[in-house]
Formats: sequence, structure tokens, C-alpha cells
Amino acid sequence: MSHHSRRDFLGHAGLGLGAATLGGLGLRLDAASAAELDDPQAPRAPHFPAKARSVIWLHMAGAPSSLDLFDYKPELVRLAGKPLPDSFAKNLKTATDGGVGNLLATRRTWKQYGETGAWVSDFLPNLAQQVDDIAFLKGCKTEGATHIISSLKLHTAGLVPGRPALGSWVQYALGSANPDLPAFVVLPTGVGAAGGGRGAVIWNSGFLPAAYQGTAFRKGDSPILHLARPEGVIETEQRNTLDLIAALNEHGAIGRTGDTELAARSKSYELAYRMQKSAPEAVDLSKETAATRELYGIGAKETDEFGTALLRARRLVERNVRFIHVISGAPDNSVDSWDAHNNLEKNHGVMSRTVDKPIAGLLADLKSRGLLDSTLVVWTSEFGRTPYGQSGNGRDHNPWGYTSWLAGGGIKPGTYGSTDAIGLRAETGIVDTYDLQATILHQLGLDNRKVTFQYQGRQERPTTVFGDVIKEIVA
Amino acid sequence: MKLTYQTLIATVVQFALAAGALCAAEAIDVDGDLMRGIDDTAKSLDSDVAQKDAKAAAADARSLVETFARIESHYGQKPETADAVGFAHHTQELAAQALKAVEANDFDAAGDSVARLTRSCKSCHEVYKKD
Repeated sequence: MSHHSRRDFLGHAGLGLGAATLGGLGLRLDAASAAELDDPQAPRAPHFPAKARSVIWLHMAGAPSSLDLFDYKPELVRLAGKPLPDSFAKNLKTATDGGVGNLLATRRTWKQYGETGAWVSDFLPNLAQQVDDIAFLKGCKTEGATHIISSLKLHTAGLVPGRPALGSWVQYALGSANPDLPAFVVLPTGVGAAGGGRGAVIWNSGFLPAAYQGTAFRKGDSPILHLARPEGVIETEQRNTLDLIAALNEHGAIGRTGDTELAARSKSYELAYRMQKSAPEAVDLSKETAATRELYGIGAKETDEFGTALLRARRLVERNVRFIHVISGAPDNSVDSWDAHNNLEKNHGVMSRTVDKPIAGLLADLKSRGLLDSTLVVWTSEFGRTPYGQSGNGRDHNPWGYTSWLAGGGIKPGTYGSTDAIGLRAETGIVDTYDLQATILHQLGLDNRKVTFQYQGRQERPTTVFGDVIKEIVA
Repeated sequence: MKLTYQTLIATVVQFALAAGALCAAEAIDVDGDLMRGIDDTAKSLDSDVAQKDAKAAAADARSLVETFARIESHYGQKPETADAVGFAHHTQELAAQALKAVEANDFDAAGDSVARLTRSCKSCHEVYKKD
């Protein structure tokens, strides 16, 4: 047995043993058992058979307008230019500076698509061809009126920093299905960080151990900062150094069987070493065909970066990464993000062109490879935008009613829920962010009420005390 | 004289009991502070149930029963708040169910009651919490 193959064998055998042991624990991980996990990457059994193996979470940072993409409202067109009627405005507390302008009609052309007859505007001509694989949640609502607060709630179920991201909970509950890659990868895109609510605070592990935080991949051939072997150090030197460190740590561990931090650190060195090969390979698109690259819009100015991120996401799914968090950003300095307080037509024109073809390509590609059944794709944002105008040609933040959607991963296509006649408030099939999170966990085989971690004397859950699975969209 | 003294004591005791009863039914401010307190107690109850801490869970559940009784009373004295009375009454019942389950050491049932209780909170907020 070669040096490498023996090491690989031991690594994989260790993971298998961890899985068997934890499967026996029935996933009731509390602080004590979590602290005993000497390998946070070890795979763990779900509560019940999962329908999805991986999640691709598409975060449209900045808040796109459902009223100009998916939620067609003829009544808003009819009332355009008039003040917001009292019948819709009752108890409405607007919190941003823009005030409440007159109602603003969409300027888009709308059509129904597919067998499901879903409405999609001409901002998204490519995605419109995929609607028969999509479950639209048109009665979404949340809390807060600022990007950062609502983004924290969307990603961590908390209104202030400190709680773990959903991807961290998934990694904590299920471990990693690939010992050579992190189970929670983040793919930020775009220039700058405008739009708010898109920094590391939405993918960190909060009160969970740091090993569960999202790993942000950079653009380019070397996706993880400081991962590459330093210049001037050859592989043998690095291997010898790691072997010496491992031997010293093993010696130091004698008589300290409870020192999980030392064990975790030793494992992290080995994971980083393995990732020096696995991570660049996972994001290397050179072996992808020209047709595949074109499908994602790679090579075209507006879609190149986002398309590259989504093709990377598909490759990570193929390598069993559990949770891939993609964050949309502006392709250039012509707009900031989806945050269209003014000139919505220009803003959403740029942002839609950035994401439309890549997302449609992702769905089609996953489907053609037989991966969509086991991959849950989620399209969402911190909130939507108001039917009343702002700055004459923009829209303000709307946490009261907006659209998210899911595709694949055991989700039943169609339209669930609705907003009122002008798209201001969720009216039927109301889905809070906690419910969206609970549904995602459910598709991964997890009961949101049974994933717990003890912190400051309390049993904390991914969705706090809330969260109901949206049974109507589960196939 | 002795009789008079006993009567006086009895009167004082009766007065004290009446005052206590009045305090119990005393109007409360149904405001953000009260709701944050309920939110914290519900989270604590949820955690206690998960940890099967019967004593702490019972204390939290009892506190919620009492608080929702007062909220029901509060809305009962206001016009056109029948649905609020209903929400408060229903939530009080769910807290009482959680308490009963905890006292029977049935933590699965208690957990279900707590989940229904938090849903009831959200249902009420759909109507009464200003956006």
C-alpha cells in the first residue's frame, strides 16, 4: 500500500466509522456530543430519507422586484399613478426614507409559460422556459426593512448577527459527503458589496463550531485564499512538514484523549492538504464542453461571472458538496445590485440579463444530467419591492409580500400562495423565511425541530421556535 | 372588644384578598415589551422541553398560561376585539396543554404543543402586529 493510498484508506475508514457511530446516536447532537465530534466533516445520517442531496441557494442580494419579474398585477397597472389606497395601506408602517409614492405599474410585457401557466415577465426570457420545473412561492413575507436585518433573518433566522447560517446547520447536521471539500461553499459574485446583507455574517457558523462556517471561493484558478503551496516549497517538503506536525500532535495527544481541538486541528491540516488538489479541480472548467459553457452564458460580458459561478456550483454538486450559496452581484459599475430605489428599468434590465441565462442554463444542465431530482435550487432574496414608487421610477423595500421559488430536490412545480391585488402584502399561502428554511431542511431529510445545539443554556434550532414545512409543494 | 378585633382582622384579610384578586386581573400593557417577554419565555419553554427539564418547562408554561389569561382579559374589555380574545384564549389553552404534557413527562406531546403555540402567536400577529 502506498503512502498516499494508506492515508486515504485511513481517512475514509475514519469517516465511515464516524457515520456508523453517529447514525446510532440518531442525530440528537447536543453540546456534549457535538464536542465529542473529533471530525466535524464526518457524515451523519438524516432523520428520514432525503429527497435532496445538495442545495444551490441563489441569493439575489439587494431585493429584486417580484412585480417586474413573476407577480403580474393587472390591478396595479389600472391604478398606476394614484396614491396607495387606504384599503391596502391599513396598519402599514413604512420604515425607509423614501416615503410612499404613487403606485407604479410594471412596464414589462407578460406571458404565461409552460403547462403550469406561470407568469414571467420579459426580463427573464430564458428562465421562462424552465417554469415547469419550478414551484413559485408568491406569498412570501419577512420582517425588517433594511437589507442587513432581513438578510440575517433569511440566512440565519435571527435579526442580529450571531446565529449560524442555514448552510452551517446543514453541515453540522449531516457532515460532509466529500472528505476532500468543505460541505458549505459560498460563491459571491459581482463588483463591490453594495446592496447590503451579503458579507460573511450571512454565511458564518455563529455559535456553532467554526468548522461549520461557509468557505468562500474566490474567482480564478485558486479558489481558497492561502490554500496553494507557497512558492519555493516543493510537495515533498510540505508532506514531510505535515507528517512531522502530525507526529508531534500525536505525541502531544497522549494522555489528552478529551482534547478535541487538537484532533480537529490535525484533521484540518490534512483537509487543507487534500483541498490543494480537490478545490482547484472542482472549479476548473477547462474540461467543460463549449456547449455547456455557452449554456451558462460563459464568455458573454454580462453573464460570464455569474455563469461561471453556477457552473462551478454544478461541479460542486457533482462532488457531493451539500450546500452551495451563490450571491448575485452587479456585473459592472452601471448598477449596484438589485436594489432599485430609482431607475428600476435600467437596474433590473442589467441584473436580469446577468442571472437569467445562467440560472436557466443551470436548471437545464442539472436536469439533463439527472441531477435536478436530487438537487434543490432555491431562488430568493431578503425581501421584494413595493408596488408604490420611489424617486419617480424606482421601488422601495417590501418585506410584506414577494416571490421566492424552488426547483428540483423533490419539489412539486406550480404556484403556491399569492399577494393582494397590487402585490403589496402576502395574502394566501403565506410563507415566512422560517418556513422556507424548514422546507429545505425537510428535503435534506432533516426535521427542523430535531436539529439542536446547546448554546448559553438553551437548545437552539435552525429555525428558532418557528418554521413549518410547506407541505403543499413537497412532491 | 375581642370580637371587634377579630372582625377587623377578617375585614383586613378580606380586603387583602380582594386587592390581590384585583391585582391578578389588573389591566396590563399589551406592548412590545410584553411581547418580547413572551417571545423569550416561549423560546425558553421550547428549549426546556427539548432538554426534558420538567421543572423549568413547567414554570415557563405556567407563566405563559397566566400571561395569556391576562391578555385575554385585557382584550375582553375592549370593543371589537373578539378575534384577539380568541387568539389569546387559544394560546392559553396550548400553554396549558404543554404544561399538562410536561407534568406527565410526555415531552414529545409538550413539544407539539409548543410548536402549535408559536404558530398561534404568529397567527395573532398577522392581525394585530403592525407592519
